[in-house]
Amino acid sequence: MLDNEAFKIAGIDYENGLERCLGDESLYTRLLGMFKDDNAFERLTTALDRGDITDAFECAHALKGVAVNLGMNTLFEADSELVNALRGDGDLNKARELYTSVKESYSKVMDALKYI
Amino acid sequence: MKNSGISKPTDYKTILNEVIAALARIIDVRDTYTSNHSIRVAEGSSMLASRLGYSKKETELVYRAGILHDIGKIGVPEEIINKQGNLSKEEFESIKIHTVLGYHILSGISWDPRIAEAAKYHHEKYNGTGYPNGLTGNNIPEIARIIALADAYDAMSSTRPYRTAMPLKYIKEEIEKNLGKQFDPVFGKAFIELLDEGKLPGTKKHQKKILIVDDEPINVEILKKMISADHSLDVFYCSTGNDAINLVKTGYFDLLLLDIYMPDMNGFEVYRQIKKINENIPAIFLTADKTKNTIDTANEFGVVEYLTKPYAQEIVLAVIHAMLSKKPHLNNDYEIIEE
Repeated sequence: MLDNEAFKIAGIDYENGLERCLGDESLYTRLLGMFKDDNAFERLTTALDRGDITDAFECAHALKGVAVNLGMNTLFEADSELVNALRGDGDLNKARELYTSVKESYSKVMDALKYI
Repeated sequence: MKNSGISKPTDYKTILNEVIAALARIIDVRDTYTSNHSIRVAEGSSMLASRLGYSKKETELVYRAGILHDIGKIGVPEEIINKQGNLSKEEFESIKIHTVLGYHILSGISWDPRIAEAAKYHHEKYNGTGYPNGLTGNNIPEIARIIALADAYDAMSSTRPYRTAMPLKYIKEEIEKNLGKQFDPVFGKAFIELLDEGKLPGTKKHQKKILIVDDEPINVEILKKMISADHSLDVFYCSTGNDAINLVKTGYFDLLLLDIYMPDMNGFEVYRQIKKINENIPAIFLTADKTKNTIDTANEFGVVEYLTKPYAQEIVLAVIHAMLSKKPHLNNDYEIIEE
């Protein structure tokens, strides 16, 4: 059973995410489990540390698509701003600043998913 | 690159074909749950006509009549057409009107009155219990007896809001039971032959093959779930551009769903290379990116559709069916107008 209260705190719209899975809760749970194992966020972190804007953009972009499909609205919003900052030539300073709120949203999401 | 890369037709035959196909789409768009019904009925009817020994030209006429047979539904209220559950007597009466409406819409086509007759009589039954006129046996125009079979078959073999598609074995038994009752017995037997041979639309062989190319497994799973709910579609996936290019070489796929950002090469590059192998395969791009730049680039590649995340099932299926039905259906070898 998924923890609705923890989802709310983490800005995950449970109903919305479940709707993407056509109401199939076991599929939704499985996909959330896959999200936990996905390393896009770690790769984003190291890419920003290295100052690799292209790689950071690709990771942030991948994270954004998955987040919105799984109903992780807060993470999606924070990450969308980061994606925009990394677009084209990119603004590394601004990106690092925006990364802080992505990291915060991501931790909350991971916290909500710890029992999955 | 030119938009779509297809040159504009100037000959009247092609233009007429496109207009007929556009008319069919009007009907299918309104009837949410039977998307592409008209096209499948046209395919099934023309296969049966050909099996019955019709000439190429006559078969083509049957195809056109099949495409247009439900056009009268335009005059039936949408809430009745899309109603889930049993219809009241009054509602059923108003559905019946589509046959007569269709006849009057199409009776202006003077090059062959059978197109209008097909619309009017495709719900007549061989034993006289059909509508609108209760005609019996060979009094029902031949073309309507053909379309009646393809129409009933498609209704049973498609998934509806209130039930999934029925198994082929069941459909076959239903048609057999109704030989001489609902259906012309000779035509019905020929139709069952086609069914047994797996040649009809809606059978596994005729499912449209969709290839998803995306390196993000979570997004693939969601799309697979949404697409596989539609039994007229068969869904496959791979996670790299190179795999996609090799898979397209098999000639097996009808439509690609291409992610734009992938590690080995981006979706646009994949599609550019795929077009060298199969110029006509349509593609829908997948993106979380709604910037004008991305959309303009997609257009340059002749991609007319893209899906944005989060995916919504209705939109995913509507876009897929719209792209599949854009492929030319009508064979231009046929002459339309009698010399």
